[in-house]
Amino acid sequence: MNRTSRVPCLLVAALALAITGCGGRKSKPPSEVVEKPPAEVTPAPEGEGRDGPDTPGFDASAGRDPSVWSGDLPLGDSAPEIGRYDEPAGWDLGPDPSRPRGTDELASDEAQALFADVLFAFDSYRLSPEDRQRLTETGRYLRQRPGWSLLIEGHCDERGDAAYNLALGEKRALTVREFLASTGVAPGRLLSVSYGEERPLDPGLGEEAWARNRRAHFRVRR
Amino acid sequence: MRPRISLALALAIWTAPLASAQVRGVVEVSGLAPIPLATAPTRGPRALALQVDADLAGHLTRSHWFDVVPGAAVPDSGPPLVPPGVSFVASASLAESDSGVVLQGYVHAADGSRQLGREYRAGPDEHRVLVRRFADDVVQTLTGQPGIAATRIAFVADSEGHPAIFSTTPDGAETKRLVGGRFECLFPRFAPGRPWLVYTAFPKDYPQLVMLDTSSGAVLSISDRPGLNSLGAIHPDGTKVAATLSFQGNPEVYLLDLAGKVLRRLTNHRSSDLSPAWSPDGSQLAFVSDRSGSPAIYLLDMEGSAPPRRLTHGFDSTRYAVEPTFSPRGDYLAFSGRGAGDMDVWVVRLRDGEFFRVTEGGPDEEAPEWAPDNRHLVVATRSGRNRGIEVLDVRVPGNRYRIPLPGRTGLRDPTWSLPARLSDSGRTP
Repeated sequence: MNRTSRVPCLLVAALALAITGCGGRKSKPPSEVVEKPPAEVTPAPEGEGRDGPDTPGFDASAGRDPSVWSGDLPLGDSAPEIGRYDEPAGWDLGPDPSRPRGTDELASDEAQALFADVLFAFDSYRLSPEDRQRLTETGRYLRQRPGWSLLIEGHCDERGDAAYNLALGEKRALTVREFLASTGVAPGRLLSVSYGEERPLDPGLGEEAWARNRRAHFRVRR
Repeated sequence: MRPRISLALALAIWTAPLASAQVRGVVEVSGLAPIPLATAPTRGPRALALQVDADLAGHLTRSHWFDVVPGAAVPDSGPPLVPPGVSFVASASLAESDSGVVLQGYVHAADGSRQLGREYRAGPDEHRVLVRRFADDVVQTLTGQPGIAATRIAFVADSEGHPAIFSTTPDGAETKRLVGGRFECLFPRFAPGRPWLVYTAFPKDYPQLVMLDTSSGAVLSISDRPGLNSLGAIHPDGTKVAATLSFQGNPEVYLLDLAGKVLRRLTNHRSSDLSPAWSPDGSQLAFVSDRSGSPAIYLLDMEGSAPPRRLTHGFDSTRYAVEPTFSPRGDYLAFSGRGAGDMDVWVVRLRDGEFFRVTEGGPDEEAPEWAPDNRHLVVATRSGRNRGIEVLDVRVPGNRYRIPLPGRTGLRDPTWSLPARLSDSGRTP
């Protein structure tokens, strides 16, 4: 570039700098509320078959650290294959049909409140003061039932990057786990897992659905 | 001859990182103009020949190196007749035998001289495989760059109620499921130069890091520690994998061997560290961290002990930057970034840190991965509930196309392999 064309180049650049500023705009999450569509049923395409291996021969013993993962809690080798979220064999929060009516603790209002989902703000894994208050009671309840174990699932809404959401779900589960451990529940009784955005409670679009999905969900083993 | 940089272009380059950049291609100084190329009707059994015609024209057009025109003529003897204004002619003849199909492919220049003559063989009904190889050889011969027709793209799509991993060719003609069905299989990544696919599976209801050898079908579990075992990227030397694990209480990036043993902990920060991606020579690792408050891309030098340095900066569309991927030549890094609205694909030129925006507005474009030709990217697109897999051209943003995958839902997370080997091709007649 020769000298005479450099000056207007710099002037325009300076002008562009002044107009746009240096900080950039804050990005806002979309906030439209959309009516929830009916649940979709997707039939498998024709000729699906089983083209590839889908029952891998896993070596489940690889790299298990016993100090973090209690050997007493079989979410590993001996757990039945839990295929679907709504059939969590062995881990249940609802009333147990095999128990006599009126005697299932988990069906009580108190238990339902203590083990209700912890909800999170967008892109956050922070616990509110109300969350901490409630989870302190949840911890007390668990300490009174030493045979119980708790699985804490971390979930996200569907916005943003799926990989980042897997990590964010993990932070949500770990935060709740750490808080419960800090109330005196033995860490070996607390397990955590992240499903990221993969297993939403509410498949709808819009903030109402998304808010329900940003959660830590509890499953109890007694 | 280097074209002179115009004032307008210089202004665009100067102001691009500071303003909301318009969509424009990654400008290379040389070799931009498409080469005029004619195709001649394929000789051979009519139905197969018509398929070869259509496939060849499609592969060559989608390479974006050529202006493809039909209508060259092949006389009974001598080289093809080159239409005026055309630089080269590609032609082929196809024959069926007891053992399969044979394709002879040629490229002639305008002066009649032969640039390429090669014979390809495969089993019965595999003529479409041969055309892909021939098309890639045409690209290689005339541009010096690898073709991408004979490559495979793996991606996630719903199958039997769960996300599963499929593979296809860039024309969408050969799609098959690799793994999945009864539980989630997510985040597939091909190993550089090997037919291996690392992915995350949930057979026991928690994320495990798994690897599939697509040539043998063998599946290996790499890591199933408590917490996350996910977002793996196999090192170019094929002996190690970087992945996000959280067994020590926080999502961090670790270096493991293929038996899952931890070789090195690569990050140590209370933020989330994820999505590792290797440079082609394995000397650098890009990853995502939200240690600055929102996800950004960092580069870690694998030699020495320097801390990771931040590559993307906190303005506009690079404020939320995820999914880094190095180009095959190591000169660019692509990623998806979110600005005021949707997710878009950006490319940063590593030698000077210049940012280029490849998509704009409309649907989200996410999870880019480079094609072996250092020019195309495969991305997942999302608009409300509609999801697709598309190929972008970083040089000419208008050159984008959707891979036809009819009936597939939940499309996301594509990854691009190097060309598969064909045992009997490549002999010059």
